[in-house]
Amino acid sequence: MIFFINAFTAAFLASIASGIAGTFVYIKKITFIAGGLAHAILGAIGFSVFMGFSPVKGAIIGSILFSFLIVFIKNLSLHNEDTIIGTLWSGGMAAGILFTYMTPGYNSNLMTWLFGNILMVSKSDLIYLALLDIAVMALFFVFYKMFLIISFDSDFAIVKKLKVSLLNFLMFSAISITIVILMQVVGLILVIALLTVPPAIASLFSCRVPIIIFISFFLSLIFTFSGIALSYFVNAPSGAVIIIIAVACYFISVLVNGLIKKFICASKQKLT
Amino acid sequence: MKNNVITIENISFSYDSEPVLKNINMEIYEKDFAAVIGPNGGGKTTLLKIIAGLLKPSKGSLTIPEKFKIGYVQQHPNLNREFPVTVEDVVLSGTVKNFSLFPFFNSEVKKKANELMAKLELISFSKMQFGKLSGGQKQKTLIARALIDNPDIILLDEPVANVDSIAEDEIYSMLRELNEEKTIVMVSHDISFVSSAVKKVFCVNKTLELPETEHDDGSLFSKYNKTKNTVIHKCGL
Repeated sequence: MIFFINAFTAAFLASIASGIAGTFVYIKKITFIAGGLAHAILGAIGFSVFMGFSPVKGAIIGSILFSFLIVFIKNLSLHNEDTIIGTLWSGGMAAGILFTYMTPGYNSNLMTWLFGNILMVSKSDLIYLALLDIAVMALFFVFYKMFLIISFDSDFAIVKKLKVSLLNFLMFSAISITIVILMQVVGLILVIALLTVPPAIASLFSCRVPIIIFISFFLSLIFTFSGIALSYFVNAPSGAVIIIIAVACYFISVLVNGLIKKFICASKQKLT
Repeated sequence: MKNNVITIENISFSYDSEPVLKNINMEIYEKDFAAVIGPNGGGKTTLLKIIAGLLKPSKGSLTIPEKFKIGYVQQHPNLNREFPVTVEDVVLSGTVKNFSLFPFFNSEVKKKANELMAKLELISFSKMQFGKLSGGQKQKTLIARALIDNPDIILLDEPVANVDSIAEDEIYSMLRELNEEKTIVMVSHDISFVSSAVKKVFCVNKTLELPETEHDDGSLFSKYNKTKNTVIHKCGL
């Protein structure tokens, strides 16, 4: 019973971070960068395991270093920015696999990071998740206005003399910390879906960032809670079940939204 | 004696090895209304971005005294239409500075935003998503965002591109009114507005094609003994 309580608590904590950070990933259109960060973090985890450090601490230090690296790459304004981030993506994953391969007896650990295992979350993991959650919430709460401007119109932010590179670094760090939290819930392979699907659905129904954040949080909560419960009954991996529910809800929402718009258009045409 | 607001000395700029601007010299004084005109690809927007501090010239120098605050109005199609912000959010964002912490705006700033939106006839759209506005309304919102921080210099990149003729007239009359107190530099294709309302014209086609032309006795181009047609021809418009 206790592992279920831990699992639901972890899902609740993950939903808070993913609701906030995911909304910024979605509105800033940086899903590819977030994917690059997630896969690069696997390299840091592999390295920590190989060196005998805590993988969570390694993941956090790695996430901050890779956020710095991505901002540095962006500042170079290279034409092949996408290729460099793609290389970081594959390189990080390859390094993670290689380091884990060189560490005897740790292959199962890598699988946990790749696919997540929310039912294995311990009490000490929950304390880490709560602390990381507080860090993510604090960063977005304190820098909210500036994060919004650099996401909407970074040229205007530069003219206003905002520290755009520093703000990007802080935002990417908060996003990568969220990725570390979510990796424990759904695993690296599925992390992007939990980061982007809830805000994608929420933005169909609101044009205010704070409301999108709240809806995304509730949707993440519904997806993770129902996914954990369903995975128990059908005896399937919880991460995959969570994402299947999220993706199904996304397509249903798009369909319903399209039908509602069509109905409103048809009603307006009838009136005129 | 008017103060120098923007001084550009011998500026050149290249994208990779492709030269876009060569040896540009300009002087703009307080309360000038200057237009930068020229053909597509001639480097007008690049020059405006250099003045705004968005691009660094590969050669030469730009001087804008610290005391002058800049308001920048870019072309609205460059912004993400789907972005979830309202008109009010966009206007309020003009007040954000470094260390504008936490998600709240004080009542004084909100009052100022409301006054500006009322003046620009945006108040009834204040809670509407920015991306859902017409071209003219979007442009006015971006002007309001630049104005809320009370800038001394306003830089505008083709402010009437992608707007209808009614909004065009409204924007031009607003710019004339603003010019009573502020320095305006505008990239434009509209030669008729340029010849009737603007005080200075810089014709940029990679280099400065004509020496700066100024208003004299009501006729913009007469000082250098050039007709409007010569300017149009020379600037490749």
